[in-house]
Amino acid sequence: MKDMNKASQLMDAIGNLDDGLIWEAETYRPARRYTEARRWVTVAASLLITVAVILLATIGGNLIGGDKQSPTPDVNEGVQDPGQDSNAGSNPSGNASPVKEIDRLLAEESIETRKVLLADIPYYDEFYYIVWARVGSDDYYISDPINLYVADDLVEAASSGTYANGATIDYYIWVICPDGAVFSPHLIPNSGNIYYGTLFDYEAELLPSDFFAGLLSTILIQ
Amino acid sequence: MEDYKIVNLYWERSERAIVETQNKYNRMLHSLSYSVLSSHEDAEECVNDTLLKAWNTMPTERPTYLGAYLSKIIRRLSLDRYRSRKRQKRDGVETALDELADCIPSDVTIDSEWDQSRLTELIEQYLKGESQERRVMFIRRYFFAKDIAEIADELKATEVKVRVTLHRMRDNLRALLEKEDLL
Repeated sequence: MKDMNKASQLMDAIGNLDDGLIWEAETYRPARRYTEARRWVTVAASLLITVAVILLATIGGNLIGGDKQSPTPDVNEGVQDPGQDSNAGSNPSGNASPVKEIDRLLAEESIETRKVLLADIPYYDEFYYIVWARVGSDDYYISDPINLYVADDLVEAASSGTYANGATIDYYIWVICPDGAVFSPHLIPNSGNIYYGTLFDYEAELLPSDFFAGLLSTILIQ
Repeated sequence: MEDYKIVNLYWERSERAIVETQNKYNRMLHSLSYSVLSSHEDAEECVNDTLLKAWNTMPTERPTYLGAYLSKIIRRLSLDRYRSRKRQKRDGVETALDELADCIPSDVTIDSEWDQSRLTELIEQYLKGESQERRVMFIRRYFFAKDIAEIADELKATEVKVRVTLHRMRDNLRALLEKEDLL
């Protein structure tokens, strides 16, 4: 049972913090991050790719981009996250989209030793976990406990997807947090898409990025 | 008008101090109080009480950051009113209290004023060791009682990131308090 009296005392202690800290919190405004610039780079890159596809189609070349479910990974190709390890986002199979790469990885890792019953999923553990299941299947699989140093990247990566635009997915993927929060890299990261202590079905709003695919590979193939 | 000029008006006992304070800080103060009390009428009363307290305490006080000074007053007044009315509101201060409940180790009691001031000192020490963004997240949640969604929007972060960051910070704070002797 939670000790609300102690919580109240802690609340009071926070009320006496240094004025400078309070003023800083009140007046802080985040700097315009690289994501703003990256958005424009992405738009410019998508225009260039579109023009290139049209030109190639016109002169009878092969269409680039194959997978209808993930047109945007080609747009993002070459657009690096500052500070991101360049190896983290690379696709081992070269031209494979992150969605295909993730599907391949999850299929390979859906082994008996990773199987988990719904009732045994550790929602309030001190670790993060990734749980997945093939759409339409009742078999669930779980990663090993995820290192806290990776967890920060995981949260960022899971929010870095591109719009699914109605694309279907082969696997549900959930990220389990130590406080019981459950979210998915397939869903826009707002409070309506966060559940507690339970998995949930969904329709994909996002398709995971190279960043997430790379990180998932790191997590599952240790 | 800069803070130091407004404070000077208080010291000169000029009623313009109140007008200037309201112009600059009324919205912020009302918002903070509303986050705790969920009532515009109650928040308005707390704002008025805060202005009265500011008038009565300056002089002798001469705060450097007037906004922070007033925020502390209204926060204290709002929490006192909240406790006396035992209002149940799931968002805002009730959820924030719920989140903080696990931060103090179970074998620690905070009995005296010394303990309380030591606790404040430890929290300050912890926050000053964190990044600016994390520090701001923590204070906006537990001092200003802002919702997760509001904080995420203000800091241009996702709600998931804010929740996860606050959870990690509460864990780290708990670990620090367990290491320190509060008795």
